[in-house]
Order: sequence, then structure tokens, then C-alpha cells
Amino acid sequence: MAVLTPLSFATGLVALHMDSWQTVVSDIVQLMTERHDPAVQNLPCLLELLSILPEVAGNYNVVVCPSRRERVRLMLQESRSTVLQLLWALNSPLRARHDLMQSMLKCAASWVHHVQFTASELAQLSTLNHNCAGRGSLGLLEVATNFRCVLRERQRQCSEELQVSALASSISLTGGFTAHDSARTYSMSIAPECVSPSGPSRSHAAVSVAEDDRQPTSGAYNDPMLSLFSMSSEDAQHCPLTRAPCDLHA
Amino acid sequence: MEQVQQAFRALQAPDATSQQTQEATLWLDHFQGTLEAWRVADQLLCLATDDTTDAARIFAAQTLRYKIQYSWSELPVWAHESLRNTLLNHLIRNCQVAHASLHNVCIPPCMPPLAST
Repeated sequence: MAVLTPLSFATGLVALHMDSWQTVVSDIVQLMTERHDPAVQNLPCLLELLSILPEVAGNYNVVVCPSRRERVRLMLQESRSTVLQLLWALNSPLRARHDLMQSMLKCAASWVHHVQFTASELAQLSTLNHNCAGRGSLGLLEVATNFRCVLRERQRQCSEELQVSALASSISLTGGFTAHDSARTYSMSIAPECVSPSGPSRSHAAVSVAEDDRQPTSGAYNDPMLSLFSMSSEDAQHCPLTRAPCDLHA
Repeated sequence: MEQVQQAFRALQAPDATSQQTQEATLWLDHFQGTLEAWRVADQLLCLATDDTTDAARIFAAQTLRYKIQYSWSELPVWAHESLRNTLLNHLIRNCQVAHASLHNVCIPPCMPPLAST
């Protein structure tokens, strides 16, 4: 491994620099899994290289044209399903090999940290064998713990993004609403239990609106915490909050 | 390449003085910055693996990493693909060396479909 790591970094750096190399991940996976037996012996190398690629792409100490870096990051983004499938395929066979399990979880953590996965992909990643780490070495335990932390953080971010996305789509469906104006500040939130992992559901998205420091002037909503309401299209048409910002002060 | 190996022999010699060690280190540092380092690093990585060459091979891998990160512009565009293929070959060759410990792992037939290049 002493030579593998700097060689993997060197290859990752070439991938970042080399404009003409457009299919880095698929090329590497294909090269190292071409035939059954070599695929086995190349596993440490493949996992090390796949771990390093996202790190190199996100390392701004490497001076490279910003557009090239963006293309590499996009390529990694588009290749995430290939990596996910690979990790999934290796999950069971590597159960008894703690050294390779460590490489696999390191690779998974690197991708989860640097590449955007969907909620369902993150759920799939969470089924990797990180719970068996207690029976392995300290190195495996450390890598597995790191993987769990990175995964949990990503799942939290993903959940928050879904909520924001649900709010944005609810508002855009109903004509728009500005939560902040020169006179008053309002805070808005979406009940998390109403947001499905597959995306915002219009019929279930619920929005609450609270005035931060003053009573609204509208007689209809004189309670600081406005009632929770469903953003169905019918409700939205009759709701003063969703028509225009100025309606709040009408 | 012979000079690099000499420098490593000097570093690893049990009776090397601190001055000899320092001179060898300085020479290797300077060598990493030269154009010649691209070619010699590649040659060093082709050496057979044994205790006497391991340090030189690690140095060669680090040199390539250093050169690619900081001196990429030294390399003509026509050499990029060749360098990439060389690095991938070195990676695979190093994996084969360590293959003995992996004989009881097999990849299942549910391996993901591979994209064609």
C-alpha cells in the first residue's frame, strides 16, 4: 500500500488535469474488473483510486482550470451509480475481509462526503456492513465510524434540502411569497413528517408561518402563529399569504 | 536512475555519516524538481519489488505525484495519455504483487455492468 497511495493520488491528479479524459470512473472500473480473477487482485487498488478521486477533485490546493474541475465534479456526480453498484456488489463478499472492508468504507465515505447522492441512494449506502466494524481492527472501526458520521450528516442535509424544496415548490405553485420585507420578518417552516423522501408532495406539504416580533395587521390572522394549512391548489387560491407579499399587511 | 539508487544506498547504509545522509537528501530533493525526474521515476517504478528497492519505488511514486501536482505544465500534451496509461499499469502491477493475500475473496456475478470506453 505504500506505493499504491501516492500512485493513486498521481492518477487522480492526472484525471483532474487531463481534459481529454472524460470517462475516468468507468474507465478505471472497467480496467480493474475486466476479468474475474484480476478483478479480485485489483480490488485494493480500485478502492484506493476511487476513494482518492473525489478528494482530488475537491482539493483546491491543486491548481487547475475551474471549468475542468467543474467537469470532473460533474463526471463524478454522474458516475455515482456505478460506484454505488460496485460497493453494493462487494458488500457481501468482503464481509470477512476486514482490510478490504476498510478500503470499501473509506471509498464510500469519500464519495458520500464529496458527491451529492439522493435520499434513496443514501439509504442504500446505509446498508453497507459498517456495523461489523466492532469485530475488526481499530483502523476499520475508525473508518466505519467516519463513514457513519459522514452518512448521517449527508442524510440530515438531504432531509433539509427536501424541506426547502417542498417549500419552494409549494410557494411557486401558488404564486409566490416573500418571507422577508422591509417592514417585518416572518419565519416559515415545513413539517418534516409531511415531506416524503422521494420528493415534496404537494398534497401533503404543510407550511407554518409565524411573525417574528409583531402581530399581523390582518384581522383574519391575528394570532402570531398562523395555523398550519395544506397547500392544495384550492387552499392556495384563497390564502392571502400565497398571493403576494403585500397581502400580509393588507 | 543509477544516481538515485546510489543516493538511496547512501541513506540506508548503516555506517553513513550525517553529512552523507544530508547530501543524499538534498540531492534527491533537487532531483525531484528536474525534467529528468519524470522519466527516472517511471523507470524506478518498474524495478522488481524487494527490500532494497522499496524506498526508491515509494520515492518515485511520490515524485510523480509531486510533479503532476506542481509541474503539470512541464509535460507536453501528447505525453498525457502515455503518463496516464503508465500510472494505471504501475497500479495494476503493484496490486498483483499483493495478490497472494486476496485469494479467498471472489466478486459475485452481480457485479455492475461496465461502461464501455
